[in-house]
Amino acid sequence: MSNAREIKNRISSVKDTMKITNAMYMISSSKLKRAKTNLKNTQPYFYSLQEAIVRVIKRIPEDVKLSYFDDKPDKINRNKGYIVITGDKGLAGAYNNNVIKIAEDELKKDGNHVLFVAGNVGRSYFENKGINYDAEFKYTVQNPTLHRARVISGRIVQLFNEQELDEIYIIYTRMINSLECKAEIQKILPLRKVDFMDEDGTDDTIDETSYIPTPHDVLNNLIPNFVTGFIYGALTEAYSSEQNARMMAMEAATDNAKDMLKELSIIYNRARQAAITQEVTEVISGAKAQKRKKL
Amino acid sequence: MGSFELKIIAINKIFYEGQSKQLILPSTDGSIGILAHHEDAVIAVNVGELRIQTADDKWIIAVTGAGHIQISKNKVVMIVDTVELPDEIDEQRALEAKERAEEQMRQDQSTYEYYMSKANLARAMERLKIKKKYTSGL
Repeated sequence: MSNAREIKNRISSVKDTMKITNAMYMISSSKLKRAKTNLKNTQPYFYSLQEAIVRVIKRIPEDVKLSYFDDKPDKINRNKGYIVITGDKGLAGAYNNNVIKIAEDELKKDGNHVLFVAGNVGRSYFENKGINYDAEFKYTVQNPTLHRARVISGRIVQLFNEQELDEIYIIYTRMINSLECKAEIQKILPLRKVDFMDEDGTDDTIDETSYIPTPHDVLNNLIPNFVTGFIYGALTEAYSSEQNARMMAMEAATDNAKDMLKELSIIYNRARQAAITQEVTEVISGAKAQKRKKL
Repeated sequence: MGSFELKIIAINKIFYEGQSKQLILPSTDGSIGILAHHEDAVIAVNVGELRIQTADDKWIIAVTGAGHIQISKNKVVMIVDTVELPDEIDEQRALEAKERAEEQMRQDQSTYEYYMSKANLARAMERLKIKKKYTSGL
């Protein structure tokens, strides 16, 4: 049995770790509260924007040609851009791993891949692995703002319009409910009409809709906004998920530390008791030996 | 005068939800007014002044960001990135943003950055304009 002092050291180190995990738990739970209200405020926008774009795209006249719809079906060796949203810090359970795993699976597919990684964890991961990513794309994921989403979407849309990228995806974590987050990949551009048609099977939009000033102008205005909105929504979802994942991971860590402390204190007491018993035995046996000598 | 159902959704809140008699908004080629029973349409919205006549004849004035409006069967849904009331506009911040955008536009920039600054400038100017117009100076 290890000696009492060793166990005592162990206990105090576990206690220190627990203090840290507990503090991180508190921090992320308060951040989560703020992130969640943000998320709740954005969700109507996020979802109605998606619905709206579906409705608009279903009804667009066939003669409207925009680069955003250009699927380039004949092009081989496609340039694919991925926006990967990871956290700025680790210690958030499987949060970062899930996102990175999806990204790696995508990298195995055909085509030229360009990664746009937001968040330090993802960046250092791909750097260690020697996978190239866009070094200029450097954005934090803390407290997402509309401005940041605008900057990101501006760059991405520009690259798309300049034909540098043929397809753009975003990989982020969506919050399903407070217990469940899911990493997923979504295609942002190009928008394909067929993708939207399939949703309810039939094309029920026979009614005439006018576009003011012109369909071309409306869509040119609408689609960059849609991309910005989508990115902002994804950033908010990811930030909430990150805080949620960290909170749960830290809660589990604190609980584990408590269990460990309980076990260790039993072992410690046992060791202490054993030491005392041994001492007492030694004293008694010594005394007995002395007594026998006198006799 | 008839009324129509209006819903204005900004990125961080639902700005307005309810009946409205008239809506005047900045489109990409000038102001557009919408009354009840407007034909079904999709309209591109630009940065600018937004005016809503509510069912009880009050006017709400705000500054809107870019986005679009969908009109379908007397239901109007407006989805834009920002909507602010004149009281919510921080004049100091808008002024700083304006100066920053002007400064950036003066420097040599790539086309994309130029458009970015131009959009920033348009937003800041519009905020200042509405703020000046609808709040009595302190």
